Amino acid sequence: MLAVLVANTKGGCGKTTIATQLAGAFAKAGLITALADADRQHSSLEWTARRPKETAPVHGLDWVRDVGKAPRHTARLIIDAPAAMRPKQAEALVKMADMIVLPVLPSAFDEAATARFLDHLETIKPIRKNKKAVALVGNRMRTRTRAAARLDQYLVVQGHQVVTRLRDSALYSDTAARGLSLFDLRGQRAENMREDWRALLTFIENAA
Amino acid sequence: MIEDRDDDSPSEVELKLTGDPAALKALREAGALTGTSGRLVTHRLESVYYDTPDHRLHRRKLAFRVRRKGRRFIQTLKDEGDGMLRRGEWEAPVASLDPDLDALPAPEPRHRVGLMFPGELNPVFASRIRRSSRVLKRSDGNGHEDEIEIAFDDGIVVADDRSEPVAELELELLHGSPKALYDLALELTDLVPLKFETRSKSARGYALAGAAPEWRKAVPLVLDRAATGADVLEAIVRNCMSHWLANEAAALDGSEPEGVHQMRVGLRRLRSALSLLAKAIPAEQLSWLQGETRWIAGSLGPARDWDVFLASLLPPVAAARPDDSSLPALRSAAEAMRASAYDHVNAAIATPRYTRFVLSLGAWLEGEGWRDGATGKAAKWQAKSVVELADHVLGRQHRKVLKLGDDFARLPTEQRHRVRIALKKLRYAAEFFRGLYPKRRALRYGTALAGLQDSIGHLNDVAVAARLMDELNAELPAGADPALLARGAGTVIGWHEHGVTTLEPRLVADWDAFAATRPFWHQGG
Repeated sequence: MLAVLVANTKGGCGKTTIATQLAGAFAKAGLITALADADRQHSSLEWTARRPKETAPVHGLDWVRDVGKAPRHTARLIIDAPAAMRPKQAEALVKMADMIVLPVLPSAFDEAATARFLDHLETIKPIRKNKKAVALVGNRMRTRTRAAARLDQYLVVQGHQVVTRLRDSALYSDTAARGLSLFDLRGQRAENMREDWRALLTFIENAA
Repeated sequence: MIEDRDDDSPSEVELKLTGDPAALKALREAGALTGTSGRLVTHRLESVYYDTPDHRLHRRKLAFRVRRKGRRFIQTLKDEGDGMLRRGEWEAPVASLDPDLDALPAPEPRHRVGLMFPGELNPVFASRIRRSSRVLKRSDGNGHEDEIEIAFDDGIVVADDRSEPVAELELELLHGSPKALYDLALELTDLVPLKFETRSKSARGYALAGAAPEWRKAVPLVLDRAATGADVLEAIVRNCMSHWLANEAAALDGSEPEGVHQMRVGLRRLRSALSLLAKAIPAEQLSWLQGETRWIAGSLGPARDWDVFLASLLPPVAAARPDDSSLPALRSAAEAMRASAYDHVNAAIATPRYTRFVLSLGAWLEGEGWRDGATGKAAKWQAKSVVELADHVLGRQHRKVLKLGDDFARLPTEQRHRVRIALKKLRYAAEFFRGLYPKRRALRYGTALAGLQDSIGHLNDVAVAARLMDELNAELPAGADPALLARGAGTVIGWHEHGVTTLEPRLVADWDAFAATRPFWHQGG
């Protein structure tokens, strides 16, 4: 089983979007997938409940109170971390995960919070010793804006791996509402947006 | 405890031999094999092997192919298995030469392949083989019948514009005991010279496609507390043989020092096990095993020494003395010696003696040869519980190390080498048996032991450097300047000798720490 933790202490940077899209990708690929929601708001868990019967299932797990277990034979476990994470909870979740995906929005407020979170992550031994990868993902990027250029620069400077930049699209809110992911859709538009995920999914698969 | 597969996943049990194409052809035509055989059937097989551009499946130790056989297409996923006979194998019919992930049974082995983006899987290499096979039925003399498919493969493996000929003999067990494969192989090797092939066709294909030679570390041993001495002997021999053979191809290739290194480690672990468990093995068998493993390990020694010299002993000296011209000269000479040592490795592994031993050892392992003629002492130790055996072996070796190292600070170098050697055996013993004991205690002991081994290993650096420089002096490569090389040799030896002197307090401290560490096994045994 490969466990991916999606985390950033900065709220609103798209953790749930990324977590649910990743879950959808792995489920559609034929792998037994579970999505653990550690956030009291339960957004990820509710998405799994909305998932239509004819789509590849994603098993929803409630980890608000405690880090739990994944069902047997689970191949991919995605963990949606809460924004307001206590240090002990952060450590427990990091211990559980094989790698961390860290979404970042193109805004100055986000950069500072992300820097603080990255510093905190560095205090956790397996990350400090480079045993667990941290994948930075630029989220809701509108290309050719000044904010996007700044974020690009910032991400490079952080020293962690910038794995991909996800463009903004209405497809994300659409699919979220319907309990779907880009990977469940047909059509050119969805196929186009899915390309943004190639580098991140390959990065995750290489850790398996 | 022959049955070592702990799940019911589909697998193949197969042994591969290579030989001279003309000799194999003669063998194919001859049909001079005992047992009843079916008719020779020939097929043309075209297989395409698929992977991501960065060989992700290969890194997961998988081989994924689609084969055209006549008008049918068969998709197969194989894993590495034990590296000797057994591999996991999953087959399904598909519609064309293109891979079809949906045809893979889920969750196993579908999960192992993981997520693939459209277009991520592409052909990496292909094989075109003419396979002539027949089924052989033989009785083993004990009322059992074995059924073996013997297939002669003749063709090529192709990757881009590179290709390599294939001339192989595959023996696949359809029914019966795996020992029958080794017995048949031994018979065949009496008829024509053959070599036990450790590489699968896919391993050869990946090598052609540019993958680095593969090497493997030891796999941790999983022991059942209910096991007996005989079970443990089997598990350890299997584990060590697998470790050694998994590194043979890299050892032959020579570009990756880990190949020879790990092959030697596998053999050393096996030799340590034979010594530690000597009481459980009938004397004649023990003598045979020790003799042949000593010979193989000996043939790898020089290559390992020159690898260590070039990678660890020379570089720090050369870095500290960039203007010393004797050191680059020494490097060139050492590289020539290393090349010659690797020729020796290749020559040894190519001998019929080596192949006979691998096949005989395999037969001994699969046939539980240790039971034959096991009387009195051997039978007693084979029947002992594994925990009792482990306690005994660990206790004895630990006490031996303490005795040899008594008053360590004042021991002469010669004596310290004996401690080093006994320590190595203790290390392997601790690794073999640690699964039977509480994790934390075993870990603490292992750490103290490893720390001491590390320090005491530097003593060996000096001894190896001195020995190699003497060897170099005796076999100077053509065009070498003896005086220049002698100066370089002296510098290197002096450097490491001084290093040992400065390390002395640390070494003594490591010894004291080790001597004070509590054993993790049950004492009083």
